[in-house]
Amino acid sequence: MLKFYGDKCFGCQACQLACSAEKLGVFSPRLSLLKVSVRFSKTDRSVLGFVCNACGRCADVCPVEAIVMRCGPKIDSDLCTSCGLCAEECPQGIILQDEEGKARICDFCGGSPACAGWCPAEALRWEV
Amino acid sequence: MGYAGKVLFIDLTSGTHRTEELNRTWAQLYFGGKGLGVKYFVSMTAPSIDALSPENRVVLMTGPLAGTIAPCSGRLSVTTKSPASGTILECGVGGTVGPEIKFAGYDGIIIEGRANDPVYAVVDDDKVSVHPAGDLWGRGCHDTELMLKDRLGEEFRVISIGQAGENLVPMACLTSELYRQAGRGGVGAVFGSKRLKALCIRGRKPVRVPDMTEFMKVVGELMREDCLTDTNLWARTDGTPLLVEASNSAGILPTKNFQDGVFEGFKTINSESVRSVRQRKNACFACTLACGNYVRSGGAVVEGPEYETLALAGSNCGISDLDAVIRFNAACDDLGLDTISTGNVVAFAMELTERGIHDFGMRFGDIRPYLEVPGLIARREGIGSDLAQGVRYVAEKYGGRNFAMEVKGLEIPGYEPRGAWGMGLAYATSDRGACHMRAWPVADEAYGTLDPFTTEGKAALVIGGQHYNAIKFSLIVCDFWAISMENMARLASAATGRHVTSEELERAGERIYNTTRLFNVRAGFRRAADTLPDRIFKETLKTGRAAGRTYPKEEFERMLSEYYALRGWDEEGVPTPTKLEELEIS
Repeated sequence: MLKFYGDKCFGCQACQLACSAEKLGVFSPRLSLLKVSVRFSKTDRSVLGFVCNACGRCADVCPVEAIVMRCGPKIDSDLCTSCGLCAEECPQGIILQDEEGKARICDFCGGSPACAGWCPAEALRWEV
Repeated sequence: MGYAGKVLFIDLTSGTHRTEELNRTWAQLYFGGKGLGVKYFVSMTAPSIDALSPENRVVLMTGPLAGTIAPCSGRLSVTTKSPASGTILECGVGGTVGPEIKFAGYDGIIIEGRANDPVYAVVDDDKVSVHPAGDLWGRGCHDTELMLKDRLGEEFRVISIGQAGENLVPMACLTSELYRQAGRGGVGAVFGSKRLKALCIRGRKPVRVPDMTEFMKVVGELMREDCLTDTNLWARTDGTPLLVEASNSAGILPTKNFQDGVFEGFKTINSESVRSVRQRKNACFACTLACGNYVRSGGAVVEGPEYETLALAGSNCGISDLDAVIRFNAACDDLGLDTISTGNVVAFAMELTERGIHDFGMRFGDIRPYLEVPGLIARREGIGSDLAQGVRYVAEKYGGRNFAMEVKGLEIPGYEPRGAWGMGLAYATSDRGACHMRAWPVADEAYGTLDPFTTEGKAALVIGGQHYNAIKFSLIVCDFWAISMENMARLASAATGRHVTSEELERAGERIYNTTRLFNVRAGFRRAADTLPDRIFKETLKTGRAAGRTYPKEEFERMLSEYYALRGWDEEGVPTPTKLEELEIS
């Protein structure tokens, strides 16, 4: 399981860059399938992380059963109808839709997630 | 590849904007960041202009690595003409604002002209707009940034000025993410003169490299072999406060306006003390080193204090109370003041008071007036109206010229040159006045194994450092990754898709340094300005390694001549036509 430890995170966003590089071959925090957000106020600074915790909500709501839970979510893009329900329902807000509207969902890179591999702070860990 | 391919021009006089294709010839010769920013700046701007006139420009330039996962690539280069020194001024700022410009689809943003009334500019990918900033004018950087994020959305990155920049204080900086600055030389005042309160950016475009697999392979190898090593990890364990102890031991910790190089109270402002109030570590975008220390002390929070603040606003003011330094730091960040210059001018005022030359109402170690000065400077109130003008101005008005610790009008940072003679040359020949980020020979002299008390070999050492940093800040790799030239070439190749050699980078570094020099020469600077305050040559330090030693001016001048000769500059420090031709500089 992918675990995020906010107290260790520096907020460098390498995880998001590793994700978009792995999945799309580009660097783009906004196209990554996890979110790290540095929040600051005049009195505090914190980092919020949103990663897939394999809750299965996306699979539950998919009307065409395009998503199955196997270690993490697996999506069959041929079945996906671009309805966007999974993205709407994802409690972490990390399911995106591609240009055709097809869902893009974290699949833990098949058990070796790029994000955790590139995290320099041990803030994002793959724990089995 | 590696570049967005576009440069955005925002003209505040007309409130209009336009984009131009990136000049690819310049990108090949100058790479990005400092080099490319300087090239754009000098190509458009007459060296004789008044820095606070609408004719000045601010060039914000990213490098080919911006937006990628290359470690320590998250900084942004800012070039303008300095109102403090009258030289060209290139500053770096961390955080995420640099990469965000790239994600918005631009390699750089060039700000021109002057608005009639205060404004802020918004760059939201292709949408560029200028808005009235009446409700923000008069506010600190912190309020400004938080209000703009509230108004535009959390995702926007903001770089702003505080009251100091609005009031054209020549030590005013730009602040981003509350605590990160383009600090030196008054770029904040240039924003102020343009009536530009803030620039807000959101970018949602991807950044591409020629071959992602190859790029990730190169970065992964360099990360393991060259970046996350003992040479660099001090940044993560401690950050720059580590230097307090090192400088004190080497006898180069500026103390009481550079009267000494050892501070008796150093233990309460050293790294251990900073660690004791640290809440968390913080990194710029894509940085694996995370040098930032987010601290809380009493009621004040700050990301810092960095070594320069601990030295110039701590020991140099005779202040050993860390809580006071943190408050001073937080105040400067919000007001938009450079802590190096502000600390220096406070220390100078303290010495003038102690010597009975002019009574500024504060002596070394006096915390209460020390904490009031940043606000007075930013608003130009009371003693702040004089102190805001910097050490050189105060010396000209009241005296103390021989211990006015500045070069070309820019106050000296945290390394005492009498305990590191090469550092004196680095200050004297920096392209923006006394600066520690052009060459840093103290690493070898004061903290390393080279003899600090000789000028032998120092000219070449300083030149090597100047070229190395010039190209490093052009690819944009942070100062704190001591990356080799060979590995920089590997990164540059992977980002641009052409085969870049370390020799090519070395030559580009020299080209950049000569380009800034040429601007300064055309602005009127010659050998006479490449010097150090009299105190360095005429007085000796009392304690520490350098105690009792003189730094002979003749030795310095001989080294300076050697430096010019090695550079292919004439005896006045003017680059020769042959050198300029060799470097393809017009």
